[in-house]
Amino acid sequence: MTKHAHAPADLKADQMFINFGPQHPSTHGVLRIALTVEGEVVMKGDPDVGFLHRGMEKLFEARTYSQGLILTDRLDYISATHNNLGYCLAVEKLAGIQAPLRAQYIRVLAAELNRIASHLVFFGTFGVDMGAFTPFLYAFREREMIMDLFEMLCGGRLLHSYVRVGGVAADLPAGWTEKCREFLTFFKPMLKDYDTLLSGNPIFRSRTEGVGIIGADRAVSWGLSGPTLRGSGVSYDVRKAEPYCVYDKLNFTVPVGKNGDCLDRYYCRMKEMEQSVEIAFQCLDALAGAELNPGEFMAKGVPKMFKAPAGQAYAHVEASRGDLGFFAVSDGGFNPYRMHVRGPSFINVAILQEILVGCKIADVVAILGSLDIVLGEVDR
Amino acid sequence: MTADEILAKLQASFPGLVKSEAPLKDYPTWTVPAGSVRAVFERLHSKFSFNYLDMVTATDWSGPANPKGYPQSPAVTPAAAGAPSATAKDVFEVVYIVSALSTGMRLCLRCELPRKEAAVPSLYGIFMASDWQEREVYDMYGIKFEGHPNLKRILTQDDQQGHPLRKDYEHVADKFD
Amino acid sequence: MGIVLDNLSKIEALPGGGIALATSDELINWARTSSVWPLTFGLACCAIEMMAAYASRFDFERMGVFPRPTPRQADVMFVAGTVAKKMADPIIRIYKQMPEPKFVIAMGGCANCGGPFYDSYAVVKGVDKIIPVDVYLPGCPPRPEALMYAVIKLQEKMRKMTVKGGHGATPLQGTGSRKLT
Repeated sequence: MTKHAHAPADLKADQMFINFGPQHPSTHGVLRIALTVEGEVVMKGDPDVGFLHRGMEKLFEARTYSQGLILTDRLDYISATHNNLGYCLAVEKLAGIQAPLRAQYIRVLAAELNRIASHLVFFGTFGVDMGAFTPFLYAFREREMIMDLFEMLCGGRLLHSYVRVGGVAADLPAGWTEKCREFLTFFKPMLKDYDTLLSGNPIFRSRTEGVGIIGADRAVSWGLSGPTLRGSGVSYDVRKAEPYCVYDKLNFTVPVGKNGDCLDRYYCRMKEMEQSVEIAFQCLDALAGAELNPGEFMAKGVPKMFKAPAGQAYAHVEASRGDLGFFAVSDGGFNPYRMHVRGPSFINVAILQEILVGCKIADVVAILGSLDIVLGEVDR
Repeated sequence: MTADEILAKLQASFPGLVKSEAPLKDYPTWTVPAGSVRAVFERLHSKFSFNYLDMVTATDWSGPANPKGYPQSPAVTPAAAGAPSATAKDVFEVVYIVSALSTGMRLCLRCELPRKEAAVPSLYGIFMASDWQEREVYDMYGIKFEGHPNLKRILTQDDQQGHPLRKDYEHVADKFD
Repeated sequence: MGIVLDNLSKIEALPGGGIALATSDELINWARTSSVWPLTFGLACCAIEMMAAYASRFDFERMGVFPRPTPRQADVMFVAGTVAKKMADPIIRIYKQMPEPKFVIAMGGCANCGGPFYDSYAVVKGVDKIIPVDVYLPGCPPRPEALMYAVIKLQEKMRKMTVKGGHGATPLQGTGSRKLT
């Protein structure tokens, strides 16, 4: 139950109180921002979260390690594979399981495809936020192709649970690699089309350039991560800083911005898709190589229900929205004793209270859109 | 500079700061007394360039979770899963993970608090990332962060009874159950 | 008039053209079923599949489903996702703001019964605990095609509605929704 929001008591006569959300087309879910405005200028913006709080960390304690996996899909539901991967890496670290090399490559491949799908949703919805509807249709056309690839892999479109503790759920089906190559070859030149469609649009640029600037120091202090942090010029990427799976064997660069405005954050994501395509190609090449045994997609002898030895482990991955960490504690039982999720969206959205002050009302949508939050991960 | 060298330098000023017996896997782990949490982080931030606070969370060590904390009985209740009670202690443990982006070094600091009236100094001001994460820990465990300017519930509903992630949490049925 | 006359048996064109006769129920229900306008309102994972239904491949608009950003212009609410207890009151408030007649499609396991969060302290186990539901759509999340099927089912229900109230009307059509807690 929540009390209906009322204007704060210290509201001045020439100020107005605006309740932005929880039902608003531009909040990307159920975020509420309590705005105090003077004319067009925001004097105070107070984000209010928890409208999708599902008590997941409590539920992890009542699930076995394999049952807990399906909850992670529903954290950041736009990039489910990253969540599965982070969770599995934490549990594997805790239980001392090592996934086979082939599974590691498949994991990275699936994760990068999911990153493209996630950034496409961002590209589409950010365009809609800025008043351009057409990019949405293009983005979702390409995204459906990725959904088809995932459907072939694991049967699920949106929530995959494909990455499992000890490996992946199944080996690549026959004909999948060809379809994947076909998609990647089709998709690569599309990125240039997106630039002509949206990135170069004068209206789009004037609404994003110089708007919502976050300096590098502030970004680090607020603990931002992912493209939101890299837009401010800080080159921090978990894939490079603490490589997991096979990222240390792959060749890619981390795009960084310069000014830390909405446009830089947007463009970092567009450039990241390019890198993801490169990584996916490298994974496909490696999977076709002779040294990876076909069919070896799961570590041997991982039961459905297992006890992890008492201990604590922390594993983090570079999800589409940033540094996604899982902190797992075991007391030797079948269930995690404690499972904490470091959701990048939760930490990224907190900076709104600082950067909204002084901007125009219309910029609130631009700034919020450029942070690219997912409320499932914010509220957990 | 390795983590051990940093620890040795810090121990000169903070004798209570020691290496943990059960470390977080793959990361140097220290135990810090509650009173000097803020001072240790201030030093780490200013002298050793630890500028990025990864995570703040807590663990309740008082044993397996009470099944009454779930409105319907879950598939596998924590108490029935055969959790040994040897690890049970009447403490909260606040866990910090902090890193230096320039060197890539990552540390885990832990601090044990009594479960009754647990309180620890807030890191607000040193790391802004602590703002919401401390509010979340307060919401879930009721641990007070002294010096936090806006310590109120963040995720749960306004009339939430109790702190849900405490192991002894009992769910009170409301009008939606 | 061609489409109208092909689809509706009870509408008859008079000789000479320009005038058609129909019962008011038939005409109103025809209009109502061809423009099911939902509220742009997503809660969780299912909302992404709902977006996919509006987008390129599925193109919901060909069924007359066109999202409206404000509840005051909407006919139907897709409750797409988990209903957290903190969100329950805003949902009731949005539902009250929708004009009559109004319909609700509970999309996905969470909105039906709590889904994977059936034992959570913070989740309303089914949106039917707070507002009346017309169509229950299972799945976690349901595919966009499934959402289309739910809309077709809702249209079937709409066709049975009569102006007088009675048979086939939403439970609150006569009294209004002010009695809702």
